[in-house]
Amino acid sequence: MLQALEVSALASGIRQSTWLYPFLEIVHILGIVLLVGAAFLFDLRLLGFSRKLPVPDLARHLLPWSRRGLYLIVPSGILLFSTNAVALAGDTVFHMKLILLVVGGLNAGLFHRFLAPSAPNWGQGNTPFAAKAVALCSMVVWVAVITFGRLLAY
Amino acid sequence: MQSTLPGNNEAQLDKIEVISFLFPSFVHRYITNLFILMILPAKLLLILSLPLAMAFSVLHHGWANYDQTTTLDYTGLVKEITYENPHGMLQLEHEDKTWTVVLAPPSRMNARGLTKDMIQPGDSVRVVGYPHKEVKDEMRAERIYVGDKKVELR
Repeated sequence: MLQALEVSALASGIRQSTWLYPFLEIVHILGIVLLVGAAFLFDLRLLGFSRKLPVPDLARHLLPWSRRGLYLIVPSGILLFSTNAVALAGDTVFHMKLILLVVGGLNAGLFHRFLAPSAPNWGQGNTPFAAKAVALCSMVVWVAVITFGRLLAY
Repeated sequence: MQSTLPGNNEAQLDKIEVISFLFPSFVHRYITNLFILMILPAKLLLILSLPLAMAFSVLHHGWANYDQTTTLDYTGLVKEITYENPHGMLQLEHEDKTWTVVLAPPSRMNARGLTKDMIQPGDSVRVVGYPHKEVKDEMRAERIYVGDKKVELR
């Protein structure tokens, strides 16, 4: 199946096109900027920077942009994957990247499920230790995902 | 300090005052920034990812993966060529050995005047490049001579 994906008209079209491949890379990076940029700014607030900004307001502004980043990252990522599917599917670095993506998603889910409901009570003071741990985990995971992604890129 | 802040933050504010007394605030901010933004993720990354990635990735075609202290200069027949993203590749027959030669991205080769139709299987080309540090019989081309034309590929 991976072989079929790699030799498909779409995948070989991307490989052979002068502009399509770089275009997909640009879209992928733009998505990363949105997702990771917004996530980092939110994480920094949780870690104690810019305490005057209420966490719920900041979440409402930043986190939708993180999510929109995914709309750019996932489709472009799947298409880039298709151009080299067989080698990537067997590559440990690629496996690590996917596992870390899941960890990053679970980490964010953890925050929304258990910590976000009490965020309005944090006011302008300190965030709880759990929120700081989530923020630090998020930063480390996203940096690692970017690192693995960079190492994958040929 | 401002009295508009909630009362339960007084302890927190005291701590900030002590820190500001010990260090000028910009020093404190600088150290905190440095720690959060760079040292911690970098440390964790080094521990987690780099050795793994170096050991397992099958896709490393970056210049650093080639031994640039050894220059190979081979003239031979082209067995196969792909003029595709992320970079072109050709199989070069040289003294009963077949070398996998990693070229540049098609967009770069095009911009430097090496178009797709200029190299066909069976053509004789001269390639100057460096051997891969781990993968046997693979080299990355610094430049290629096609006919009487020299094309830089880096």
